[in-house]
Amino acid sequence: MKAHIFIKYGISFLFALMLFSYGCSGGPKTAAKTYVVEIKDMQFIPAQLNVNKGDTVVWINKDIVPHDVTEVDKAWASPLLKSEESWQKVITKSESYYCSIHLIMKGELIVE
Amino acid sequence: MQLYSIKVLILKFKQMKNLRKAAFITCVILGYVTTLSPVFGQESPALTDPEIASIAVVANQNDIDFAKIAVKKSQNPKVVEFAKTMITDHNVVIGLAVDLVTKLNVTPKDNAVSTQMLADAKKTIEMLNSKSGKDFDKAYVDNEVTYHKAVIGAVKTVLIPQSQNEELKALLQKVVPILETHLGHAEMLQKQFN
Repeated sequence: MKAHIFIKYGISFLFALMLFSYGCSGGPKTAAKTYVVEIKDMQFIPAQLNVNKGDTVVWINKDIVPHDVTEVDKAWASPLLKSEESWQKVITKSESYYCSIHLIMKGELIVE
Repeated sequence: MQLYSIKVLILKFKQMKNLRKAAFITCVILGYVTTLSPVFGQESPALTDPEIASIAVVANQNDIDFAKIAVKKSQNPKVVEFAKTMITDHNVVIGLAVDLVTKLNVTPKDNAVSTQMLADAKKTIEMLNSKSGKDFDKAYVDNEVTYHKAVIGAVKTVLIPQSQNEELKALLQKVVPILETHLGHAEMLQKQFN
């Protein structure tokens, strides 16, 4: 009898706990996405990209000359990317970046 | 074009202000094309693909030679970084041009335009070697602006339209945005000196 009550209340407790956790998380989260920024004809394409926190951005160098991706205050930077090489980063906040080799090439990531 | 005419043109070039030099260099190339046209006939291009390949290699090599002087002489980190970029990028273009002509079994052919460009580059090198300090930096960057404007004009209006081989044409088209980015970078540096 005692065991039956224990199971009954135990299941109820676990169910309540699940509901509580679900409520705290704000409902189902959108799965993190991966976006591609092409480096082509000496431009970041798209130059401005809207992403969500936790999304990944992959930069692919489609040019014949090497480039890099450097945060505007040099907080982070990719290695040198030769033609067809790529580099990726998980984005946690809005960022402005440029190519430190070709200073007039600029891009922006906006976290919504 | 007669040798006498070339000397007169060079003298006039020296007397010109930088802003007019780019247009002048382009006109020289266009002038050669016009002069050479009757040789090839009206239906034929003024420049053959081997000649265009030669001009492309010379144009890139000239800028590498200017940049090597800058790396050696300049004390300005921004000028040195720019010069290093010129060496890297123009070497990439030369490498691809050489790969292409090798694949096509074509030998770049010297011609009046490439010969004149080499002669002009020699004078520019002499001018750069005669300067030092900030005067050198200004002269180098001014020349980069002038030179890139001239080469962009020539590639767009002469070399691309006259290229017969599609791969050569495509390579030249890929080079245009690179040259335009170099020009933008050089103009940004130029503002420091004016």
